Amino acid sequence: MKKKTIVFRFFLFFVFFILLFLVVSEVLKDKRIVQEYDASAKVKGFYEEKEDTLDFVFVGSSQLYADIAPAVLFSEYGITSYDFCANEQPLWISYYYIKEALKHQKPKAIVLDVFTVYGAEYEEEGVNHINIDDLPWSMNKVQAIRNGVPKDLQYSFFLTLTKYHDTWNTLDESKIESSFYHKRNVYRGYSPFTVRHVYEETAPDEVVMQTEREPVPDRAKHWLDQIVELTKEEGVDLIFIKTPNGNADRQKLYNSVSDYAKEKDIPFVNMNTVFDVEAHINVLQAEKVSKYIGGYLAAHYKITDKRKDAAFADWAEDSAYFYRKKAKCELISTDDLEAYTDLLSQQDYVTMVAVKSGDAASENTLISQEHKDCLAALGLYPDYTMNGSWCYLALVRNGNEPVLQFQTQTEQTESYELPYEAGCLITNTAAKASEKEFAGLPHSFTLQSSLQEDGLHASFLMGEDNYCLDQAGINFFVYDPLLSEIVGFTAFAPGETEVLH
Amino acid sequence: MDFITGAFLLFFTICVTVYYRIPKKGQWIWLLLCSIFFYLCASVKLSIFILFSIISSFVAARRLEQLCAREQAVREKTDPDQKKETDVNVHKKAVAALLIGSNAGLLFLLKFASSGSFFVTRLHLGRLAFLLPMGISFYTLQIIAYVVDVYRGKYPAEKNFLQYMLFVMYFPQILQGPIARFDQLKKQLCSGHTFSYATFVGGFELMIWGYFQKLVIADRAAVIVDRLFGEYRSYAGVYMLLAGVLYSIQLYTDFNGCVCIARGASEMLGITLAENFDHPYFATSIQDFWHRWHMSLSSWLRDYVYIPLGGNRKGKLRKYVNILLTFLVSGLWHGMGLTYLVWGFLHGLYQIIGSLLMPVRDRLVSLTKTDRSCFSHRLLKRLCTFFLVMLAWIFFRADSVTQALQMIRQMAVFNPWVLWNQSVYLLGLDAKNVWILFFAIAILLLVSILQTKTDIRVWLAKQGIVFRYAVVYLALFAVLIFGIYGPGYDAVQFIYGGF
Repeated sequence: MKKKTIVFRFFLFFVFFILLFLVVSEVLKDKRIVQEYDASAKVKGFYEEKEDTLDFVFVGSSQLYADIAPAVLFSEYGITSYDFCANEQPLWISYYYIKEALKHQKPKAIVLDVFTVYGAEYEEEGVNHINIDDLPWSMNKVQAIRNGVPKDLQYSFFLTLTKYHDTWNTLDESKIESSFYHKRNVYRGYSPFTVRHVYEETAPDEVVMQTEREPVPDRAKHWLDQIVELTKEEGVDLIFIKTPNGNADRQKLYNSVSDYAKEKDIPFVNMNTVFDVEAHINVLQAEKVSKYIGGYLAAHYKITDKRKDAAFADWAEDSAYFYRKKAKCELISTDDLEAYTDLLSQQDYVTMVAVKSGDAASENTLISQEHKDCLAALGLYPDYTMNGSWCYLALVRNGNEPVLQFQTQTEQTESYELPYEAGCLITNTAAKASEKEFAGLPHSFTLQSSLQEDGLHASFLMGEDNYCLDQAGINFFVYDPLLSEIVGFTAFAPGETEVLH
Repeated sequence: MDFITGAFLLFFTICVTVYYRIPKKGQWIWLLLCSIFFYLCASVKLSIFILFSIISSFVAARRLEQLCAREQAVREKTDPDQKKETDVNVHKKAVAALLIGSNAGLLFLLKFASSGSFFVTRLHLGRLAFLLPMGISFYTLQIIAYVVDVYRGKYPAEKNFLQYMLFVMYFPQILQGPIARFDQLKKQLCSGHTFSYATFVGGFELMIWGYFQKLVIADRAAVIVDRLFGEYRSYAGVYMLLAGVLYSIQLYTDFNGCVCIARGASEMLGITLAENFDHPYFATSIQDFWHRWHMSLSSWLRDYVYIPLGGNRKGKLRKYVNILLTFLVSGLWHGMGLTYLVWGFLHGLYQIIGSLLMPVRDRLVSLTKTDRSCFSHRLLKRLCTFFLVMLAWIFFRADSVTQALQMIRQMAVFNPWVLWNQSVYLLGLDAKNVWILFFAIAILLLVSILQTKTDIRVWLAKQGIVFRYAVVYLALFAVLIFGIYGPGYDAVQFIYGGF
């Protein structure tokens, strides 16, 4: 065989091998695109931003991406920003995130959350993968691996197949479809937590009163120095912040950071002493924290308001998702029927309602006037005078437009097909769904009454799953077509205005 | 640096790339440098042992060669019928004995020290447990064979120390053999080789096959085997049978996998290493098994233990004693524990009983008018042989003889339903991994059957490039995806708890 032929064959073999290797590696790689810990979507989303369009880049850990909502900064102050963060991000990786950020953007300042100033050792292997895997290949990524990962594990960051090959047994169509994920992140790196929680107005006393100081470990200090040096070299401002975490012990470290910041003439906005928190804060509290930091930035920097700039129309459009999440959080935090129906009437939800009389005719009177008024606010008027047990089922769109409704004492079924709405999100991810992707989501809603031995039953079917609590009184199921997610399902017992579930 | 590391693959890529770029005359020097580097990667300090073995055997062989020449001269001067032992002869024996004694003794001592046995523990010799130099079990046998062959005048002693050093340290075979003979390997190592596409690709394919056996089968089977042997008191019946069968497969694919990698790597360098396995579980008798299992060790034991003990030349009783002694030596070579001795003893006993029962078996065959060459008879013999070998492997793997006996006793429980009531999915591998293991073993069986009929690599070489590439890629990615290697993926590692 001629030498040229051999060389050509080897070349062909290796080229195909490398191509296959890259595809297989990408397909099997862990896809972190499911909210709220969707680090892949956040990091990759950053690179989808138009160059030099961000006023500020926030860098740090989950305590930052759970607290600062760029949508609020945009809606309130016309500021464009991005939470370029990943879970428990150590400072030595933040350094390379900042370098990456400055490669693509010319922000007025880098805003660094100093949560991980406790870092003295390598982070856990999983945390390192979450932080590094989704960075595009560049010298920054190579350096992040070399500085952030123990030597014996570095190979698995360069060749991710060595880490993720075991995931073949969880491989499915969705995993293949989400390979090579590159989509704009409509939350700009923010994670909207919609948990129900009541926050105090101020930070806990033990945090506010904490005056002790704990020295920043040498390794973290070294990388703080590096970050300060880097931003100086790049001619970009650096702001330290600490999002609230309510940790009095950690406050000792933040006191040391405060000293360090003074020494280096770097502003430090410590919100740990301002707000009350419960771990990753919910959307309602995040709005307050975001307004606070937004106010600070607006006060200290001359910012061109981009809210009316046509070039930033997508920002206004995307901000809507944050406020839909806020509405969801408000709804699930509401116990009062009147407030509940008021919130429902304000959004274009798919709301399924079942009003069930009691078993005895006399129990009909338990549907109080207040209940009737609330139902009327949604455009629903059951015949409350019907004798015997009955069930009224309705599906409401756009706040108060019933598209299906029937009152029955026997079995009855009616269905509604949700049409594709441009701009809706793929369930649990922060990416907009195409018509094809939407088709894969459950979007068939069925109201059903069934007569069984123990009486009349109501069902809210979405796909094949029933979400009706089937209680006497008023039952709700709420679906947000824009978020493509269930907002909640609950019930108010007859005569009660407090939520039952 | 073992074969299952990225470091080895990188090292080997550099080695083979440079190897074919330097003049043939200098290739052996490059191989020697690579071998030294490979050895030093394991431990610099422990290299003292291999250096001692190389120097001592090199010097001893040279001295033996001189003594052989002198002995020849003395013989020529004296009456050839006179068989009186000369001083030269005594001297020769002393040199050989000293060399064999010192090296075998060293091997024995280091193995003993590293065995963690009762005596080691009681004598507080725990720190010695680290002192097992890489490949000592293999290269010691190699140099003993070399010195004995020179002693016997089979070939002259090597005069070039560095070339001899390469023979002992040649990196593909130092880890797990095969145990090479000087006259088979040395010429190949030092003669230089021009690049051959067919040989190179064939070697590469053999390496992939080795990795497949080791990473996809052996290391996956090990998960279940470790569970069943580790918690043997909780399992019985089919579980114990499964432990024995899977361990037999694990051991074979682990060992043969590494030997295939070694042979494949060597082939890519143009150097052919001897086959070490010839489908041992297709053996129809224990004797046949030992002609197929770890052949380089079996032939070494035959040539340097069994035959010197007298072999079968001194009557039946002596033959049986020799067989037992040979297998006891084999047991000791594998490990210092009592379990290894019992394993060796069992194999010796199998052969003796087999030999003693031969007339009975012949009579049975004759009475039942069975055709010995028919499929069913051969299958029965293969199954019986496998079962006996499997029982012995239980001793080989168990922590104690008591454990092995207990496991064999527990086989008597009747519970075949565990094979289909999903219980096997609870032994450390989930359902998908159990099926991959099953499927991979089926491929092993299929390939083994095909290998007995044709040379698969030669057949593959005759196929079109697209088909050939497809097969190689398929095998390569089967290893990369289904192999047990790397830091391991644990979804919990990524489930975010802290903040």
